[in-house]
Amino acid sequence: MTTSDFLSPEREKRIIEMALGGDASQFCQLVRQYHKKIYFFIRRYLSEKVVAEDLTQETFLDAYQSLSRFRGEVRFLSWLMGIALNKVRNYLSRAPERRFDMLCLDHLFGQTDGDDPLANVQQHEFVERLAGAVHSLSEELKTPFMLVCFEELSYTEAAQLLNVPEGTVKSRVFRARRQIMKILDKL
Amino acid sequence: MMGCEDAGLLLSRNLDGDLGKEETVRLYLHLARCDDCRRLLERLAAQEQGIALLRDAFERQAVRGDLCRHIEAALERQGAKRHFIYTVLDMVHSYRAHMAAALAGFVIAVLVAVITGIPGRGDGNSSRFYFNEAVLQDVDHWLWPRPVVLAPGRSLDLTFNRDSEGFCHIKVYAPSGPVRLEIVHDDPETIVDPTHSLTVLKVHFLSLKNPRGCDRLIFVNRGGGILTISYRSPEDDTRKTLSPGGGARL
Repeated sequence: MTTSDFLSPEREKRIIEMALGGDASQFCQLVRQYHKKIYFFIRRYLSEKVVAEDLTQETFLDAYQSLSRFRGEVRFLSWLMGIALNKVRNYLSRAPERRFDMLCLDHLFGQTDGDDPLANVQQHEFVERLAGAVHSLSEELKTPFMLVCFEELSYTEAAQLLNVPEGTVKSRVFRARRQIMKILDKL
Repeated sequence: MMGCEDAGLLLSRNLDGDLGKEETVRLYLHLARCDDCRRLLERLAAQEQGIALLRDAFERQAVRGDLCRHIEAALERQGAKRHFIYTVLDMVHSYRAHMAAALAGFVIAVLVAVITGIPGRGDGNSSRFYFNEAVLQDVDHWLWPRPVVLAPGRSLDLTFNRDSEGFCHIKVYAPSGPVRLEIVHDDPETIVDPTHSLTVLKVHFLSLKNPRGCDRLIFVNRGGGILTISYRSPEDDTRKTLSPGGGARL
Protein backbone atom coordinates (compact mmCIF):
# COMPACT_ATOMS: atom_id res chain seq x y z
CA MET A 1 0.00 0.00 0.00
CA THR A 2 1.37 3.39 -0.94
CA THR A 3 1.22 6.46 1.23
CA SER A 4 -1.52 7.89 -0.97
CA ASP A 5 -3.63 4.83 -0.24
CA PHE A 6 -3.49 5.50 3.49
CA LEU A 7 -6.82 6.55 4.93
CA SER A 8 -6.64 9.18 7.63
CA PRO A 9 -9.20 8.84 10.45
CA GLU A 10 -11.10 11.85 9.03
CA ARG A 11 -11.18 10.38 5.53
CA GLU A 12 -12.23 7.04 6.98
CA LYS A 13 -15.10 8.74 8.83
CA ARG A 14 -16.28 10.50 5.65
CA ILE A 15 -16.16 7.23 3.73
CA ILE A 16 -18.26 5.52 6.40
CA GLU A 17 -20.84 8.33 6.24
CA MET A 18 -21.08 8.01 2.46
CA ALA A 19 -21.33 4.23 2.68
CA LEU A 20 -24.13 4.64 5.21
CA GLY A 21 -26.02 6.47 2.50
CA GLY A 22 -26.01 3.25 0.49
CA ASP A 23 -22.89 3.84 -1.61
CA ALA A 24 -21.15 0.48 -1.61
CA SER A 25 -18.31 1.81 -3.79
CA GLN A 26 -17.18 4.03 -0.90
CA PHE A 27 -17.08 1.10 1.44
CA CYS A 28 -14.84 -0.70 -1.07
CA GLN A 29 -12.07 1.74 -0.15
CA LEU A 30 -12.20 0.35 3.36
CA VAL A 31 -12.10 -3.17 1.96
CA ARG A 32 -8.97 -2.36 -0.02
CA GLN A 33 -7.39 -0.84 3.07
CA TYR A 34 -8.12 -3.62 5.53
CA HIS A 35 -8.83 -6.88 3.74
CA LYS A 36 -5.30 -8.25 4.19
CA LYS A 37 -5.24 -7.38 7.88
CA ILE A 38 -8.55 -9.14 8.43
CA TYR A 39 -7.51 -12.09 6.31
CA PHE A 40 -4.32 -12.59 8.34
CA PHE A 41 -6.20 -12.05 11.58
CA ILE A 42 -8.58 -14.87 10.67
CA ARG A 43 -5.82 -17.00 9.19
CA ARG A 44 -3.98 -17.06 12.50
CA TYR A 45 -6.86 -19.07 13.94
CA LEU A 46 -7.66 -21.32 11.00
CA SER A 47 -5.68 -23.89 9.10
CA GLU A 48 -7.54 -23.54 5.79
CA LYS A 49 -6.97 -20.65 3.44
CA VAL A 50 -10.28 -20.99 1.64
CA VAL A 51 -12.25 -20.81 4.87
CA ALA A 52 -10.24 -17.76 5.94
CA GLU A 53 -11.06 -16.10 2.62
CA ASP A 54 -14.76 -16.86 3.01
CA LEU A 55 -14.82 -15.54 6.56
CA THR A 56 -12.97 -12.41 5.45
CA GLN A 57 -15.66 -11.76 2.88
CA GLU A 58 -18.43 -12.44 5.40
CA THR A 59 -16.78 -10.06 7.85
CA PHE A 60 -16.92 -7.18 5.36
CA LEU A 61 -20.47 -7.98 4.30
CA ASP A 62 -21.61 -8.03 7.92
CA ALA A 63 -19.72 -4.83 8.60
CA TYR A 64 -21.44 -3.14 5.66
CA GLN A 65 -24.84 -4.35 6.84
CA SER A 66 -24.33 -3.15 10.39
CA LEU A 67 -22.32 -0.04 9.58
CA SER A 68 -24.90 2.17 11.28
CA ARG A 69 -23.92 0.53 14.58
CA PHE A 70 -20.31 1.70 14.24
CA ARG A 71 -20.08 4.66 16.62
CA GLY A 72 -16.43 5.53 16.06
CA GLU A 73 -15.56 4.82 19.69
CA VAL A 74 -12.87 2.38 18.54
CA ARG A 75 -10.77 2.26 15.39
CA PHE A 76 -12.63 0.88 12.40
CA LEU A 77 -10.04 -1.89 12.08
CA SER A 78 -10.58 -2.96 15.67
CA TRP A 79 -14.37 -2.98 15.08
CA LEU A 80 -13.82 -5.17 12.00
CA MET A 81 -11.66 -7.51 14.07
CA GLY A 82 -14.51 -7.88 16.56
CA ILE A 83 -16.80 -9.07 13.77
CA ALA A 84 -14.09 -11.35 12.39
CA LEU A 85 -13.42 -12.82 15.84
CA ASN A 86 -17.09 -13.73 16.21
CA LYS A 87 -16.99 -15.36 12.78
CA VAL A 88 -13.93 -17.38 13.75
CA ARG A 89 -15.47 -18.46 17.07
CA ASN A 90 -18.70 -19.52 15.39
CA TYR A 91 -16.80 -21.43 12.76
CA LEU A 92 -14.51 -23.19 15.22
CA SER A 93 -17.43 -24.16 17.43
CA ARG A 94 -18.81 -26.07 14.43
CA ALA A 95 -15.49 -27.36 13.12
CA PRO A 96 -12.87 -27.40 15.91
CA GLU A 97 -10.58 -29.63 13.81
CA ARG A 98 -9.96 -26.69 11.46
CA ARG A 99 -8.12 -24.75 14.15
CA PHE A 100 -4.70 -23.46 13.13
CA ASP A 101 -1.97 -26.02 13.78
CA MET A 102 1.76 -26.43 13.50
CA LEU A 103 1.50 -28.13 10.13
CA CYS A 104 0.77 -24.76 8.62
CA LEU A 105 4.17 -23.45 9.67
CA ASP A 106 6.27 -25.50 7.24
CA HIS A 107 4.10 -24.26 4.45
CA LEU A 108 4.33 -20.77 5.86
CA PHE A 109 8.11 -20.64 6.08
CA GLY A 110 8.46 -22.34 2.71
CA GLN A 111 6.88 -19.31 1.11
CA THR A 112 9.31 -16.74 2.44
CA ASP A 113 11.73 -15.13 0.02
CA GLY A 114 15.50 -14.70 -0.04
CA ASP A 115 15.45 -11.89 2.52
CA ASP A 116 13.79 -14.23 4.95
CA PRO A 117 14.78 -13.22 8.49
CA LEU A 118 14.18 -16.83 9.46
CA ALA A 119 17.04 -18.03 7.27
CA ASN A 120 18.97 -18.82 10.37
CA VAL A 121 18.01 -22.39 11.21
CA GLN A 122 18.26 -21.88 14.94
CA GLN A 123 15.99 -18.92 14.75
CA HIS A 124 13.62 -20.87 12.53
CA GLU A 125 13.42 -23.62 15.12
CA PHE A 126 12.80 -21.15 17.91
CA VAL A 127 9.96 -19.51 16.04
CA GLU A 128 8.44 -22.90 15.27
CA ARG A 129 8.54 -23.82 18.95
CA LEU A 130 7.11 -20.44 19.81
CA ALA A 131 4.23 -20.96 17.36
CA GLY A 132 3.55 -24.33 18.97
CA ALA A 133 3.54 -22.75 22.41
CA VAL A 134 1.12 -20.00 21.34
CA HIS A 135 -1.09 -22.62 19.75
CA SER A 136 -1.25 -24.62 22.98
CA LEU A 137 -2.43 -21.67 25.08
CA SER A 138 -5.93 -21.84 26.49
CA GLU A 139 -8.52 -19.79 24.62
CA GLU A 140 -8.83 -17.45 27.62
CA LEU A 141 -5.17 -16.46 27.34
CA LYS A 142 -4.60 -16.90 23.63
CA THR A 143 -7.22 -14.46 22.33
CA PRO A 144 -6.08 -11.39 24.30
CA PHE A 145 -2.46 -12.35 23.63
CA MET A 146 -3.08 -12.56 19.88
CA LEU A 147 -4.97 -9.28 19.82
CA VAL A 148 -2.26 -7.38 21.68
CA CYS A 149 0.93 -9.08 20.44
CA PHE A 150 0.02 -10.05 16.88
CA GLU A 151 -2.68 -7.56 15.90
CA GLU A 152 -1.01 -4.81 17.93
CA LEU A 153 -4.24 -3.57 19.44
CA SER A 154 -3.99 -1.45 22.57
CA TYR A 155 -5.16 -2.94 25.85
CA THR A 156 -8.18 -0.64 25.72
CA GLU A 157 -9.16 -1.82 22.24
CA ALA A 158 -8.68 -5.48 23.13
CA ALA A 159 -10.75 -5.02 26.31
CA GLN A 160 -13.61 -3.40 24.36
CA LEU A 161 -13.49 -6.11 21.74
CA LEU A 162 -13.53 -8.90 24.31
CA ASN A 163 -15.93 -7.06 26.59
CA VAL A 164 -13.72 -7.50 29.63
CA PRO A 165 -12.01 -4.92 31.89
CA GLU A 166 -8.70 -3.52 30.68
CA GLY A 167 -6.94 -4.89 33.77
CA THR A 168 -8.08 -8.39 32.84
CA VAL A 169 -6.48 -8.06 29.40
CA LYS A 170 -3.20 -6.84 30.90
CA SER A 171 -3.10 -9.70 33.34
CA ARG A 172 -4.06 -12.32 30.73
CA VAL A 173 -1.41 -11.13 28.31
CA PHE A 174 1.20 -11.39 31.04
CA ARG A 175 -0.02 -14.85 32.04
CA ALA A 176 0.10 -15.92 28.39
CA ARG A 177 3.72 -14.73 28.07
CA ARG A 178 4.71 -16.57 31.20
CA GLN A 179 2.86 -19.71 30.05
CA ILE A 180 4.68 -19.59 26.70
CA MET A 181 7.99 -19.44 28.51
CA LYS A 182 7.09 -22.50 30.59
CA ILE A 183 6.06 -24.44 27.47
CA LEU A 184 9.29 -23.46 25.67
CA ASP A 185 11.30 -24.65 28.67
CA LYS A 186 9.69 -28.08 28.44
CA LEU A 187 10.23 -28.49 24.69
CA MET B 1 8.20 -2.30 47.86
CA MET B 2 7.32 -3.99 44.61
CA GLY B 3 7.32 -7.81 44.51
CA CYS B 4 8.47 -9.96 41.58
CA GLU B 5 4.89 -10.79 40.55
CA ASP B 6 4.02 -7.11 40.16
CA ALA B 7 7.32 -6.48 38.39
CA GLY B 8 6.52 -9.29 35.92
CA LEU B 9 3.22 -7.67 35.05
CA LEU B 10 4.95 -4.32 34.56
CA LEU B 11 7.59 -5.95 32.34
CA SER B 12 4.84 -7.40 30.18
CA ARG B 13 3.03 -4.06 29.98
CA ASN B 14 6.33 -2.35 29.22
CA LEU B 15 6.70 -4.50 26.09
CA ASP B 16 3.32 -3.18 24.95
CA GLY B 17 4.25 0.43 25.66
CA ASP B 18 1.68 0.75 28.43
CA LEU B 19 3.83 2.06 31.31
CA GLY B 20 3.71 5.60 32.59
CA LYS B 21 6.77 7.43 33.90
CA GLU B 22 6.17 6.59 37.55
CA GLU B 23 5.61 2.88 36.88
CA THR B 24 8.74 2.75 34.70
CA VAL B 25 10.84 4.20 37.51
CA ARG B 26 9.41 1.71 40.00
CA LEU B 27 10.12 -1.16 37.60
CA TYR B 28 13.71 -0.12 36.99
CA LEU B 29 14.33 0.29 40.71
CA HIS B 30 13.14 -3.29 41.17
CA LEU B 31 15.23 -4.59 38.25
CA ALA B 32 18.31 -2.94 39.70
CA ARG B 33 18.20 -5.26 42.69
CA CYS B 34 16.48 -8.41 41.31
CA ASP B 35 18.44 -10.88 39.14
CA ASP B 36 15.39 -13.09 38.48
CA CYS B 37 13.39 -10.24 37.03
CA ARG B 38 16.34 -9.13 34.85
CA ARG B 39 16.48 -12.71 33.45
CA LEU B 40 12.72 -12.55 32.94
CA LEU B 41 13.18 -9.29 31.04
CA GLU B 42 15.75 -10.90 28.73
CA ARG B 43 13.52 -13.90 28.06
CA LEU B 44 10.46 -11.76 27.43
CA ALA B 45 12.47 -9.64 25.00
CA ALA B 46 13.61 -12.76 23.09
CA GLN B 47 10.07 -14.05 23.03
CA GLU B 48 8.83 -10.72 21.71
CA GLN B 49 11.44 -10.84 18.95
CA GLY B 50 10.22 -14.35 18.02
CA ILE B 51 6.60 -13.15 17.97
CA ALA B 52 7.59 -10.32 15.62
CA LEU B 53 9.31 -12.81 13.29
CA LEU B 54 6.30 -15.09 13.39
CA ARG B 55 3.98 -12.17 12.62
CA ASP B 56 6.15 -11.09 9.70
CA ALA B 57 6.27 -14.64 8.35
CA PHE B 58 2.51 -14.81 8.52
CA GLU B 59 2.05 -11.57 6.69
CA ARG B 60 4.49 -12.58 3.96
CA GLN B 61 2.02 -15.21 2.88
CA ALA B 62 0.43 -14.63 -0.45
CA VAL B 63 -3.15 -13.40 -0.30
CA ARG B 64 -5.37 -14.52 -3.11
CA GLY B 65 -5.05 -11.80 -5.72
CA ASP B 66 -8.73 -11.45 -6.40
CA LEU B 67 -9.89 -11.60 -2.76
CA CYS B 68 -10.45 -7.87 -2.61
CA ARG B 69 -12.30 -7.84 -5.96
CA HIS B 70 -14.37 -10.79 -4.79
CA ILE B 71 -15.46 -8.95 -1.64
CA GLU B 72 -16.19 -5.79 -3.63
CA ALA B 73 -18.43 -7.70 -6.04
CA ALA B 74 -20.36 -9.23 -3.12
CA LEU B 75 -20.70 -5.77 -1.58
CA GLU B 76 -22.04 -4.29 -4.80
CA ARG B 77 -24.72 -6.97 -4.91
CA GLN B 78 -25.61 -6.26 -1.31
CA GLY B 79 -25.37 -2.51 -1.90
CA ALA B 80 -28.14 -2.67 -4.50
CA LYS B 81 -30.48 -4.22 -1.93
CA ARG B 82 -29.34 -1.76 0.69
CA HIS B 83 -29.89 1.16 -1.70
CA PHE B 84 -33.50 0.08 -2.21
CA ILE B 85 -34.07 -0.12 1.54
CA TYR B 86 -32.53 3.31 2.03
CA THR B 87 -34.67 4.78 -0.75
CA VAL B 88 -37.77 3.51 1.02
CA LEU B 89 -36.47 4.82 4.36
CA ASP B 90 -35.76 8.22 2.75
CA MET B 91 -39.33 8.35 1.46
CA VAL B 92 -40.63 7.47 4.88
CA HIS B 93 -38.40 10.18 6.31
CA SER B 94 -39.61 12.79 3.77
CA TYR B 95 -43.29 12.06 4.31
CA ARG B 96 -43.07 11.21 7.97
CA ALA B 97 -45.36 14.09 9.00
CA HIS B 98 -48.09 13.01 6.56
CA MET B 99 -47.71 9.39 7.55
CA ALA B 100 -47.81 10.22 11.23
CA ALA B 101 -51.00 12.26 10.72
CA ALA B 102 -52.61 9.45 8.71
CA LEU B 103 -51.59 6.90 11.31
CA ALA B 104 -52.90 9.08 14.14
CA GLY B 105 -56.20 9.52 12.26
CA PHE B 106 -56.47 5.80 11.74
CA VAL B 107 -55.74 5.05 15.38
CA ILE B 108 -58.34 7.61 16.51
CA ALA B 109 -60.92 6.16 14.12
CA VAL B 110 -60.24 2.66 15.42
CA LEU B 111 -60.50 3.86 19.02
CA VAL B 112 -63.79 5.66 18.32
CA ALA B 113 -65.12 2.55 16.60
CA VAL B 114 -64.10 0.35 19.50
CA ILE B 115 -65.55 2.67 22.12
CA THR B 116 -68.84 3.56 20.42
CA GLY B 117 -69.36 0.46 18.30
CA ILE B 118 -68.87 0.46 14.56
CA PRO B 119 -71.57 2.74 13.19
CA GLY B 120 -73.32 1.28 10.20
CA ARG B 121 -74.94 3.62 7.76
CA GLY B 122 -78.68 3.69 8.45
CA ASP B 123 -78.01 2.52 11.93
CA GLY B 124 -80.02 3.82 14.86
CA ASN B 125 -82.76 6.29 13.98
CA SER B 126 -81.64 6.93 10.48
CA SER B 127 -84.26 6.44 7.82
CA ARG B 128 -81.68 5.43 5.27
CA PHE B 129 -81.74 1.82 4.19
CA TYR B 130 -79.24 0.28 1.87
CA PHE B 131 -77.22 -2.76 1.14
CA ASN B 132 -73.65 -2.91 2.17
CA GLU B 133 -71.81 -1.60 -0.85
CA ALA B 134 -68.76 -3.76 -0.36
CA VAL B 135 -70.83 -6.89 -0.41
CA LEU B 136 -72.78 -5.76 -3.44
CA GLN B 137 -69.61 -5.31 -5.38
CA ASP B 138 -68.90 -8.95 -4.78
CA VAL B 139 -72.16 -10.01 -6.45
CA ASP B 140 -70.90 -10.47 -9.97
CA HIS B 141 -71.19 -7.17 -11.80
CA TRP B 142 -74.62 -6.33 -10.48
CA LEU B 143 -74.14 -3.21 -8.51
CA TRP B 144 -76.51 -1.28 -6.34
CA PRO B 145 -79.20 -0.09 -7.05
CA ARG B 146 -79.80 -2.60 -9.85
CA PRO B 147 -81.60 -5.76 -8.82
CA VAL B 148 -79.56 -8.88 -8.46
CA VAL B 149 -80.31 -11.80 -10.75
CA LEU B 150 -79.92 -15.13 -9.07
CA ALA B 151 -79.44 -18.10 -11.38
CA PRO B 152 -80.60 -21.60 -10.33
CA GLY B 153 -78.37 -23.02 -7.64
CA ARG B 154 -76.61 -19.70 -7.03
CA SER B 155 -76.62 -17.92 -3.73
CA LEU B 156 -76.45 -14.29 -2.76
CA ASP B 157 -74.77 -13.28 0.42
CA LEU B 158 -75.84 -9.79 1.55
CA THR B 159 -75.09 -7.73 4.56
CA PHE B 160 -77.35 -4.74 5.18
CA ASN B 161 -78.39 -2.25 7.78
CA ARG B 162 -81.87 -2.03 9.20
CA ASP B 163 -84.27 0.84 8.65
CA SER B 164 -85.61 3.01 11.42
CA GLU B 165 -88.20 0.40 12.30
CA GLY B 166 -85.77 -2.46 12.14
CA PHE B 167 -87.10 -3.95 8.91
CA CYS B 168 -85.55 -4.87 5.63
CA HIS B 169 -87.96 -4.77 2.68
CA ILE B 170 -87.10 -7.01 -0.19
CA LYS B 171 -88.96 -7.80 -3.38
CA VAL B 172 -88.37 -11.11 -5.03
CA TYR B 173 -89.46 -11.68 -8.60
CA ALA B 174 -89.49 -14.97 -10.42
CA PRO B 175 -90.01 -14.30 -14.17
CA SER B 176 -90.21 -17.97 -14.98
CA GLY B 177 -91.67 -18.91 -11.54
CA PRO B 178 -92.47 -20.63 -9.38
CA VAL B 179 -89.05 -20.68 -7.74
CA ARG B 180 -88.11 -21.87 -4.31
CA LEU B 181 -86.08 -19.37 -2.31
CA GLU B 182 -84.23 -20.26 0.80
CA ILE B 183 -83.22 -17.52 3.16
CA VAL B 184 -80.48 -18.40 5.57
CA HIS B 185 -79.63 -16.31 8.58
CA ASP B 186 -77.02 -16.88 11.21
CA ASP B 187 -79.72 -16.26 13.82
CA PRO B 188 -83.06 -17.54 12.38
CA GLU B 189 -85.08 -15.96 15.19
CA THR B 190 -84.30 -12.49 13.97
CA ILE B 191 -86.29 -13.11 10.79
CA VAL B 192 -89.92 -12.54 11.67
CA ASP B 193 -91.38 -12.74 8.23
CA PRO B 194 -91.26 -14.78 6.09
CA THR B 195 -90.24 -18.32 6.82
CA HIS B 196 -86.74 -19.30 6.00
CA SER B 197 -87.83 -21.13 2.92
CA LEU B 198 -90.61 -20.08 0.58
CA THR B 199 -91.87 -20.64 -2.92
CA VAL B 200 -91.97 -17.53 -5.05
CA LEU B 201 -94.66 -17.54 -7.70
CA LYS B 202 -94.40 -14.22 -9.49
CA VAL B 203 -93.65 -11.38 -7.14
CA HIS B 204 -93.20 -11.76 -3.47
CA PHE B 205 -92.68 -8.85 -1.16
CA LEU B 206 -90.72 -9.62 1.96
CA SER B 207 -90.30 -7.66 5.11
CA LEU B 208 -87.49 -9.07 7.13
CA LYS B 209 -87.00 -8.02 10.69
CA ASN B 210 -83.44 -7.06 11.03
CA PRO B 211 -82.89 -5.83 14.54
CA ARG B 212 -79.17 -5.76 14.47
CA GLY B 213 -77.05 -3.10 12.92
CA CYS B 214 -75.38 -5.20 10.36
CA ASP B 215 -77.09 -8.49 9.63
CA ARG B 216 -76.16 -11.00 7.06
CA LEU B 217 -78.63 -12.91 4.91
CA ILE B 218 -77.98 -15.55 2.31
CA PHE B 219 -80.55 -16.05 -0.42
CA VAL B 220 -80.27 -19.38 -2.20
CA ASN B 221 -82.18 -20.07 -5.38
CA ARG B 222 -83.24 -23.71 -4.90
CA GLY B 223 -85.50 -23.75 -7.94
CA GLY B 224 -84.87 -24.22 -11.64
CA GLY B 225 -85.69 -20.71 -12.87
CA ILE B 226 -84.11 -17.30 -12.66
CA LEU B 227 -84.87 -15.20 -9.64
CA THR B 228 -84.51 -11.47 -9.34
CA ILE B 229 -84.07 -9.87 -5.97
CA SER B 230 -84.45 -6.23 -5.20
CA TYR B 231 -85.74 -4.16 -2.32
CA ARG B 232 -87.75 -1.11 -1.46
CA SER B 233 -86.24 1.92 0.05
CA PRO B 234 -87.91 2.58 3.40
CA GLU B 235 -88.38 6.31 2.79
CA ASP B 236 -90.01 5.65 -0.59
CA ASP B 237 -93.58 4.53 -0.15
CA THR B 238 -94.23 4.40 -3.85
CA ARG B 239 -93.86 0.83 -4.89
CA LYS B 240 -92.16 0.83 -8.21
CA THR B 241 -92.65 -1.95 -10.65
CA LEU B 242 -89.79 -4.26 -11.22
CA SER B 243 -89.40 -5.11 -14.83
CA PRO B 244 -88.39 -8.66 -15.66
CA GLY B 245 -84.71 -8.99 -16.40
CA GLY B 246 -83.79 -6.31 -13.91
CA GLY B 247 -82.49 -2.84 -14.43
CA ALA B 248 -85.39 -0.90 -12.93
CA ARG B 249 -84.78 1.41 -10.03
CA LEU B 250 -86.95 0.88 -7.07
